Amino acid sequence: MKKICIVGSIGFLMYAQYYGLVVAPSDRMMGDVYRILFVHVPAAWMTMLFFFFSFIGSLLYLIRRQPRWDHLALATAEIGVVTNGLALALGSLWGKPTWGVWWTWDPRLTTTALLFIMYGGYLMLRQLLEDPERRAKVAACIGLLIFLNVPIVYLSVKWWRSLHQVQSSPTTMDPAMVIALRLNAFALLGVLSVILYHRLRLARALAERDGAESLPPPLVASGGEK
Amino acid sequence: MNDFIRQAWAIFRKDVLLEIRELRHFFAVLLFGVLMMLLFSFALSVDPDVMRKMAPGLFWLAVLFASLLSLDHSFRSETEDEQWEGLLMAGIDPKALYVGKLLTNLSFVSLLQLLLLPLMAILFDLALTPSLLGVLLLGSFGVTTLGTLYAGVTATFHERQMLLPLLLFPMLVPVLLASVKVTELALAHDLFGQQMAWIRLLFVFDTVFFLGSLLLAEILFDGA
Repeated sequence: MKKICIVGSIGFLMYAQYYGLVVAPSDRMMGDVYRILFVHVPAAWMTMLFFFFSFIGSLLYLIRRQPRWDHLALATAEIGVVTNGLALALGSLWGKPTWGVWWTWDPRLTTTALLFIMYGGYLMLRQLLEDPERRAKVAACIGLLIFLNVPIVYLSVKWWRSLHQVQSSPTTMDPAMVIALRLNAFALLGVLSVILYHRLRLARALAERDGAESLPPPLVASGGEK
Repeated sequence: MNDFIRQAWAIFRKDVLLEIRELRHFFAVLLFGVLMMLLFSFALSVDPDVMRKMAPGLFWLAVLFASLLSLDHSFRSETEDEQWEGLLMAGIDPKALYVGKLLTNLSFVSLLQLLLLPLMAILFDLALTPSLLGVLLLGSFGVTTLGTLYAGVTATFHERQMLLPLLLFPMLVPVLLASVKVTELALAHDLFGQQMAWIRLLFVFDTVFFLGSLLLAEILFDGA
């Protein structure tokens, strides 16, 4: 079943990429460069989605104090940072031929870059805390504060200066482009979900191992095993 | 409630006393702030008109870096000899500990700003207006409200000097942008024109993160 999920999700992603690269038509203004959006846009969507999950994980941990919510916050934050980096790098590659610059101080770009740093710091903080319970507690609090700050950061940068292309509405796009974009978004979500599943499994296993290590040593066995 | 205020006040008094007995720390931070303003000016421009335009930005950067030194210092007495546990065992509410520390840091940073502000006026040939004082207070409250919480979280780390700015500064971007803008506008005598929107933003930031920090202090300051 696990193998089917892995192969299936990767296969779907390959198909979606094929659809985006070959089936969808070239853009009238941007030519083939625009095809970067079939990765860039889904990556940006996934960043928001996974950071949102991370926020939910942090919140639920603080309410319920169960390690699994901490694992969820960690795993989704890690995946979010990767897609965040991908969205930034690809956006920059797309910006050069289209806008003529690698980077602009547009609110969405700037907020995304700051998110990358904030969640990078969050992951680093986690690395430095050794006691699992304190780590979960501190990380959950920091996760909440970061998420709380996103709208304020966005608004402040927006007021500070505002070039990001307004999103194209599906009605002005060629239907094949819309399909390609949606396919890619779902395909990426599929692959990331598989990764998330395995990352959660890993987090649980690590927690179990650490838990077992911190238990007092067993008393001398009386009566042998079992 | 009365108890809470008394506890916070006790923490504040203790810290202020410690700072007064070790005044050289304050002067070191002040000198560092002055140095920052000079260095930024050297690095950026020689044209007096450009300098005048950049002055609010340079001022707030200097304040931000200097406050980092103050924040980094603020939990030093608690991390030594397990005094943090001592405070909690003495029945201090973690939230009162946070508020006390916040008051100390706020006074420290506000005083720093008050001393750096005339220097900015002299260095960049600017005329100060009284309305700047309000901005300073809102800005420094924004910096210290999250700063105190993060300083408490990172107090026990060896790597805190790297971790504290890494965690704190991206969070403070709205405060930096708003404070610089309001300072710029105040110096250009645009009272209550565009300024109001930024002041409101600062106000919202300060309120949201003061309440947030106060709630989370209960969890985070409950033993180091």
